[in-house]
Amino acid sequence: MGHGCPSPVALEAIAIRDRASPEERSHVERCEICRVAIGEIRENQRFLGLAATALGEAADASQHAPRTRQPAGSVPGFELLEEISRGGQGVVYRAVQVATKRPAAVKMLLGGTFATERQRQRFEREIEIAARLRHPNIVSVFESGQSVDGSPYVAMEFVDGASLDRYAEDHYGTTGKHDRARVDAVMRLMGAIASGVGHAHTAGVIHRDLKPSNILVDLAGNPRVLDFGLARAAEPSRDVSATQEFVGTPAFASPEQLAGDPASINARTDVYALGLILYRLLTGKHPYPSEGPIGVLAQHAISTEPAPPSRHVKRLPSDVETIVLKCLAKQPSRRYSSATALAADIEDYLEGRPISARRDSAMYVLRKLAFRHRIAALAGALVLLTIVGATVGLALLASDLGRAKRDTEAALSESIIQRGRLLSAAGSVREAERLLWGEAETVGLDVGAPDLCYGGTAPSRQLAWALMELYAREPRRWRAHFPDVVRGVGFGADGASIWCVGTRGAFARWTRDGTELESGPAWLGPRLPEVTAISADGTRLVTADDQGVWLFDVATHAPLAGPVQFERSARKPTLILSPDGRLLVAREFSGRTTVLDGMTLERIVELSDGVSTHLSTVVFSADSAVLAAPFDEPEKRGVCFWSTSDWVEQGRRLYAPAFPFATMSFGVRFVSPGVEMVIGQLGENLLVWRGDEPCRIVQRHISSLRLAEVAPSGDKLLTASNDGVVWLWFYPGLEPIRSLLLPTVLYASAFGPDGRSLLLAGAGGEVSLYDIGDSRLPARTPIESHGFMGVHGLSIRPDGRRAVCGDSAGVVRIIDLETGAIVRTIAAHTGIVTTTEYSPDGKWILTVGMVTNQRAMDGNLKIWDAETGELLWTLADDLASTWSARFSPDGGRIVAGDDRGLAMVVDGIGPSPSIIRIPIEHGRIPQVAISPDGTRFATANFDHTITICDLQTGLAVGTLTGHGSSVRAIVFSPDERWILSGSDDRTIRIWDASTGQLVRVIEDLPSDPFELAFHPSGKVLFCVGRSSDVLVLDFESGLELAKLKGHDKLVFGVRVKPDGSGIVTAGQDPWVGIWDLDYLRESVRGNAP
Amino acid sequence: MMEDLRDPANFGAWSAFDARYRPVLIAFARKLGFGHEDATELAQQSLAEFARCYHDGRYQRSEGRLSSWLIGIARNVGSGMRRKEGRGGARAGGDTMLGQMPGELPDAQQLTIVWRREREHAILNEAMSLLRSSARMEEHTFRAFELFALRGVPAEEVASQCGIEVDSVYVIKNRLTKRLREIVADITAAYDEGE
Repeated sequence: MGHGCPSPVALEAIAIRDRASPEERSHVERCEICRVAIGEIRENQRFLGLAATALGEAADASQHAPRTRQPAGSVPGFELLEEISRGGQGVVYRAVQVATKRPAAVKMLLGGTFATERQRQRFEREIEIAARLRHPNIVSVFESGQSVDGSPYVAMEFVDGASLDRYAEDHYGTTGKHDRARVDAVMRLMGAIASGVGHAHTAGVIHRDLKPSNILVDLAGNPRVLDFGLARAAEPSRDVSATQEFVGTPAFASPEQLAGDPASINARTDVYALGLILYRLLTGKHPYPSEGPIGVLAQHAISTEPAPPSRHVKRLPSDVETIVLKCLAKQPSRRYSSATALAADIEDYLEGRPISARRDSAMYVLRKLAFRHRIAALAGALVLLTIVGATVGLALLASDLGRAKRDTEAALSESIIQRGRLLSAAGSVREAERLLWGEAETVGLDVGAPDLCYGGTAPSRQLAWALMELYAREPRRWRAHFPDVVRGVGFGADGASIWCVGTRGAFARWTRDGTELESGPAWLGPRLPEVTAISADGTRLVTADDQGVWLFDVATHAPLAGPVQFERSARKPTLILSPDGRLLVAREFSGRTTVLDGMTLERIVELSDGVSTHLSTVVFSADSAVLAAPFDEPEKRGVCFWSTSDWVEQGRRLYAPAFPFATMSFGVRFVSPGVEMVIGQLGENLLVWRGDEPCRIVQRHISSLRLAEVAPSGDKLLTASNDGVVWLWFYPGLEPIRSLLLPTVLYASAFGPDGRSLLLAGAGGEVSLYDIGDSRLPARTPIESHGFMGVHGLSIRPDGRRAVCGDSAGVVRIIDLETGAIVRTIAAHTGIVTTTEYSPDGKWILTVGMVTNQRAMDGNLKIWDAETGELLWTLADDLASTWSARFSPDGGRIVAGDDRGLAMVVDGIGPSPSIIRIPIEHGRIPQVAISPDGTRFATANFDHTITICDLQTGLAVGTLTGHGSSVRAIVFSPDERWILSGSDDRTIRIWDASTGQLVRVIEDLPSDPFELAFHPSGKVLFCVGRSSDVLVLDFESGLELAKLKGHDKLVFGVRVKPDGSGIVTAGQDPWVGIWDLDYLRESVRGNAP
Repeated sequence: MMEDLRDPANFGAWSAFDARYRPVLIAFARKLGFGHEDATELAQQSLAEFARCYHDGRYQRSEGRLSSWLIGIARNVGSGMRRKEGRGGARAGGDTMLGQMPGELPDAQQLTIVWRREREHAILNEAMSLLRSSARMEEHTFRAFELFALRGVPAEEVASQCGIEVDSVYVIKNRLTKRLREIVADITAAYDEGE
């Protein structure tokens, strides 16, 4: 331990009994090593509790897991009595408010002063949120503050009662049988709970952790919701929990929570949890297995349809079933919009009124009304029956059975694909692959088709994009099945080929794109030895059997040298070949290290590090010039080095910090010549240090570590644990890059020579190549000094090789789309650049500067030479803010829209243009679009309308109405047949471009659309807006095909390359994203089973 | 290991398989109410039946986990033994079935739970013996670990018995527990991989 660390006895007391002196507390708060050690002790305790029981030992489990029954510290103004509950976050005590003698419940943060900053933030937020909620069904907060020892606390009303589970069991008796009174009592209770949660929703608070234990029912039968520890305010900026980590209780979490997408969590998330609670109250069962690994729970929540509650409770009223199943809909948009809406439906049910969940069925409403007004309805019943009978008969006659079958198949296919997408979003990559590739086989998806994503049928496009989305998240370029247990993988000397050798001598070589070059079957065994070492180029292998060590040619199986005898031991020596293949090092269990000639196996030298050790790792530097081996002396442990030219131990040793407990895996990695990184393992934690630098701790894994490797480039580190989780880190910063979840444990790995590729091979023989280079999805061109709003006004040159964009500092940049480099910067305007646009021949760039209050007035339309960046003409300067401008297809005109509701048509582009101004509306025109044939233009208007004008005359020829909010985006389809408009009402409306008739509406967009862009095929539409995702939509079906994730902030613009091979995006981040969609399509091909 | 079992003459692999699953099968049978003698017989018959199935190619990895397969075999063998016993009556001095009709066994879910528990038990036993044999430590070190970590003897008493400092008792407990956890994780991974 470091200087001043508490003794092992003291650490144990702190870890297990939370008992520490002020000095120890202060030290532990500062010392990361102590904190890790405390975590380790706690984990050990937990394990011992289980192990002792399983082994039948006499260990007293209670000794290993003592529970603090006494209050940890005193709270001013309250007398703390006994502990009444303990959760993940805090401990609750029964208490009495001294001044008023009022009973109270005092909750204190678990861990007291050792709580992390994050835990404190959550606790304080819970207090803040709960304090502003006043409702008969929410536990009231009296006051909050800090206890004498500095722990935060909150004093709440004391509810004398039981948890919801217990209450229901005591009061409603056995579940499973039909009892209308029981069902109604449950519904009344649930209605009150939903009312309380609805109040929180109205106040902008989402609970996120609703479960029976968070609901107390008092002696009078009134339920109270408590524990807003994970709640969040609706405004994202206030959300300190908005990270990718899962928060909540897995058994009661919604699919979107388990999918790890904080942005999609809203009031409907709570509605889902209320549905689960209601299901349990009614049936006594959970709709899916509620215990097990979170991945399994996620799979059930995402893909298992809940069994109808009526399966467990006979003759359950169908309205109740409808309410429960509506709450449990997988798609949030199909649930009640808030708990208030749920409460209203429960009330309608109890009052015998039609519930909203079924109000769309006329038959249902009639039946409901008839039930309420039985006599009056009786007379009409016969007439109605006649009408209904006739209607049904006609409908049956008219039905097209073939179409019905196709519709059913399409619906099934869509359901499978959507489940696959959800699983992929939840990180269940393998399960998602199983579903999607299974469906690909059914649909007959041709992954080699050039128009894979833009042609074929709607289901095949859906499937192709679902797979593209999957491999955008999981950057696996290809995978292959290897018919042997993998011993080693690597890259050929030139980096262009990849090799794999198995324990039984099977081998394979591939090109980097996954084409097999050669392969050979397993030939060692079953009684012959396994491969123990492989040369860096994969051409020679080493085995060790009872006769000694052998060297073989991998491809021909010819013995090259051997056998060489080693000491008789139950354990074979660890054998390592130097990267240049000249040397073979054998490290025996006794600690003896022998160096052999890597070609002849002749002994060269025996090294003595003077210590007896069971550690066996030896490592060569990349140039084979240095050999490193760890030593483990009684007082010190570290690494010593030998020069491989003279085998003299170098005068330096690296020493590891003295940890109180053994580090079982311990070794060295060469980061770059002369720079070594020493690594050790403390449970699930990786310890990393270099020379005298302080030890760093990598804490991400939750299972024991298995592998740790450094990329040859020295800038990346890989760690893998026994649960199949692989993490990649930037080195030396140790910031996480990404994690991968393998289906099995990792057996072998290799970084590509340039550090941009990673080979992984696991149990089961799967060999996979991952792309870990600088993200190509998208490649990012950072824009520095961009002003305050990021990057916008994006356009692509017609040849697809360059893009131009503007920023809010008035600067325009031209970007090479091949390299991502900024090739020209133009200080174009004094205000925000709202638009940049290449002319159809690519020779000019049009830029538009906006009028701002903060800056000098601009309002200019300017034309620049696209090659030289020289200003050619300023077309207009009327001090209005122009939001959007476009060239006509022939390049002869420009159409623009400003914030006064004027559209402007500029003719005769040059030094003396003619400008026509057309009044469209009184507010802003955020976007204009010109038809591909150049005859018309359309404006998106803030007054919720779209105006269509004749480009020649400037006359308005039509106004399209129907949007419920401002229209921001407008585009013509490539075939000119349709006009698409995107609005803040979160719909895209599709209009017939010749008649102005509304044809279709794409509803429920995840955010307000800012810009729409068609793929040249006209089949696929890209949409960006008030979100960081790029939404990909199928134009024909309106279905969401994919969400491309890459931006961190709002995306303002999206354009498609003219050849359709990719898109370019720009946003608030601030950077320009270049998305290579062909690259993704190749990943789909490479991963085909 | 499963690949190695394809070769009937690979005694090493079969010994390892036997060493791994025989104790689990015996304990499993004991939990089902079989006496020691019958439990041993059940394990023997089950392993022999598995070997036959495996060589005949009737066990396919894709059709289910190895554990499910073994449970199924053990269940069939056990049911057969109980039926036989039901017909012949309880053997004098032999094992009797507890509270179950002849031929009756718990359902598949309960069997899986019992199996899992016994597997964990076997893994822990194996891990403990590995810990004892692999760690290069003095006898008093392991003794201190056993007394303090597993039997709950107070640290001061352990220190006095083993002639070490109290601090060392805690260090030993945590070092060896962590090592034990790692061994358990490795063995579990090996089991999972094989199954």
